[in-house]
Amino acid sequence: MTNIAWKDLKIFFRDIKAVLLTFLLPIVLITLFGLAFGGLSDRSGEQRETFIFVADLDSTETSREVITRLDSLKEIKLVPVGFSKGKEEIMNGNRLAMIVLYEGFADSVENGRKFPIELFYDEARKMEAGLIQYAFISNLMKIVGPQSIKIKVLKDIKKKYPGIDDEMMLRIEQDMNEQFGSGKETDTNDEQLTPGNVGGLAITGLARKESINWALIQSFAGTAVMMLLFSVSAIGTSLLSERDDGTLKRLMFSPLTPYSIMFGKVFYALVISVFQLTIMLVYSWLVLGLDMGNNLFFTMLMIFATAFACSGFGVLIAAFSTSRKQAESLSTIVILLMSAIGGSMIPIFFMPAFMQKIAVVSLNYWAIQGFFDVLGRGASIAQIFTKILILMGIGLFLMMISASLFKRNLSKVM
Amino acid sequence: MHIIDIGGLKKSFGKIEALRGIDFSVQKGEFFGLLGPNGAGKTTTINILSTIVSPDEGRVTINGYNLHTNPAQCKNAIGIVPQELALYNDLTALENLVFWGKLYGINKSEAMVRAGELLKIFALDDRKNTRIKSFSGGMKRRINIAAAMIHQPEILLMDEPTVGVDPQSRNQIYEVLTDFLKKGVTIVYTTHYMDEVEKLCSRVAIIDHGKIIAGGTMNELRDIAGSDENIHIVFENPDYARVENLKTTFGDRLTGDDGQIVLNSSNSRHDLPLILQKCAEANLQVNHVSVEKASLESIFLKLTGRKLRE
Repeated sequence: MTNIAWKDLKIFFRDIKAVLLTFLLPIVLITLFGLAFGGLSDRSGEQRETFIFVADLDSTETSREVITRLDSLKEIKLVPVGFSKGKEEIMNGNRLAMIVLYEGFADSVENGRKFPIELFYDEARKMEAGLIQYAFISNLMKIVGPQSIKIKVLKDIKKKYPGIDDEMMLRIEQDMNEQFGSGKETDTNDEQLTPGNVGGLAITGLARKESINWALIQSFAGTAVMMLLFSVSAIGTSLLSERDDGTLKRLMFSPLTPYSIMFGKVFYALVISVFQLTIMLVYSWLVLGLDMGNNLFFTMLMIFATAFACSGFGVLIAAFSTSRKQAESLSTIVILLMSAIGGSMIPIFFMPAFMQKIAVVSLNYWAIQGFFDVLGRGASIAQIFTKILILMGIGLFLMMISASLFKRNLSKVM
Repeated sequence: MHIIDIGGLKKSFGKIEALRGIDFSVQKGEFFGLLGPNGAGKTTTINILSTIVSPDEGRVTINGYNLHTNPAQCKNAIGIVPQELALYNDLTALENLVFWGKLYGINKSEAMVRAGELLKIFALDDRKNTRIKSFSGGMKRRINIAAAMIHQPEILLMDEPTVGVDPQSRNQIYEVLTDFLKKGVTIVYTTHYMDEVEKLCSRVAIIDHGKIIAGGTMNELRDIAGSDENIHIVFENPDYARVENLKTTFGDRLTGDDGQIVLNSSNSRHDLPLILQKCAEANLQVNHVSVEKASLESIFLKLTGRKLRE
């Protein structure tokens, strides 16, 4: 078994094209996916800005103040526009969204009423608009929320206690100013004025570790697993090449059993897979700044489990197929399908609920979630071991089917 | 002593009966030829001997071991030279031989020594560190044979080992095989080249439609087939009309033109003086006379009713 693996490794490392495709291509893809998902932006210090329209139909000091403060945010850049023109431009797909501050906006802020404000967006870019909506709502509440609440509270007190004297009201107002700031000029403080405090939507990210670059983990894990599947399926088809070249028959002449020949290929695939994943991980760590997680041992276990499952897939393709062409077509289709539903191409959270449920049938899903656990979430040993055991189980199951198919197909080869 | 003994061997693939009760045996140290057209059952026989195909019925003993109960011992006793160039093109000649040797449980250093010796025997030691993808067809064929000998088997099964080999390499292979034979290796050889069988094999079995239809030495096969001889006569003074006159005596048995004739004869002792007498009477001056024994090709044709390559 080890003789076959060693021989295959020797042949593999002599094929410069194969080596480059196995190690360089995934690295390029990880970098590209990292850039696409924004996983590299934090490291470079650059932040993507979204230019959106703003139509100020209120044209008051308050509305202008709000626009200025929203415009000062890193992720949003506001471009003033007329209401009708703005709608037209969005419908033409020239701009993502438009914030409209209707007449009476300042009055609503000052009287603690519901703000007459609306966000128009391009239906074709709903997902992108969702991200803007989140940034917009949370920041708007930080800006105008305290002033609005303070006024509303003072009005409610006056309404409830009509006989309250002006001096008392002034003291209450001063206390509130100390607590929330003095209104429009207030320097909002995140700790005091979260959207939750002012009655808006509370959105809070939770993580055991701070400053995790999730996009980069997604880029690494998603791409690595997908590329690994391509690599191992190519290794699997080497079994079919051996059949075509007559060397498989010669191997059968030797004292080796069919199983030891097949597991020799599995061993070879496993070594290449571990090597490939490790190189991709080290590259992502050294060059892209991926956090290696708290426990290197678990990371290595995840690499091994992923490599094991992928190796099972590689030999299954070879054992199932009757020709190289068939194996290549079949593996491409299955890999793309698994990668699409398993989260290699598009992160799982972008998918609708039913797709997220389907994802669990994909090997990619368990591998990606496992890497999220070890590299990002800092998950418990039990959680990590669950993913590792599932991956090992998938690998074992695929290998058992492969062994049965391989032995059956051998009679056709001879 | 029989090193290979086969009796009542049957094998079917679905409805196709590849072997329909084969019996033959091979003596130790013998060069044995297995002849048959495509689809006759040669490769199935070789595959059964090499233990990769199980027979449906029958008995096979190799080097005293029952193939069914002791496949491992049988495998170790046999070296197989497949029809294909079953080698790894991206490994060197030495690496290929060492790899195949290690599969038989030989340790690396021992395999290196044996591989070195074989490369010398096959006159390829100067190319031992060259990847075999740059080798010629003949050189690859030699490595293909060497790979089967790396574990020093007592029996060498060779399935068309010289296909596509240039005459020079082929002669070199013959020399090596003869040398192996002298060292006591038993060789079972299948080929399409009749001249190879006639030159190398001490005994031959002819297989057709899954059955052995004849077996023995060349002379025994000639007796079995009752094959004729050919009397070749070359004339000094060719004359078409006179040669045509000879045909009135010998009929269709006589072929050829005015310069040379061939008389097919089942009794050359009787026919040779007769045709020479007729030539003298016809005033045809004879330049050269030869009597050619029946070839394996003609024996095969007579026994099977078809040519070997049909």
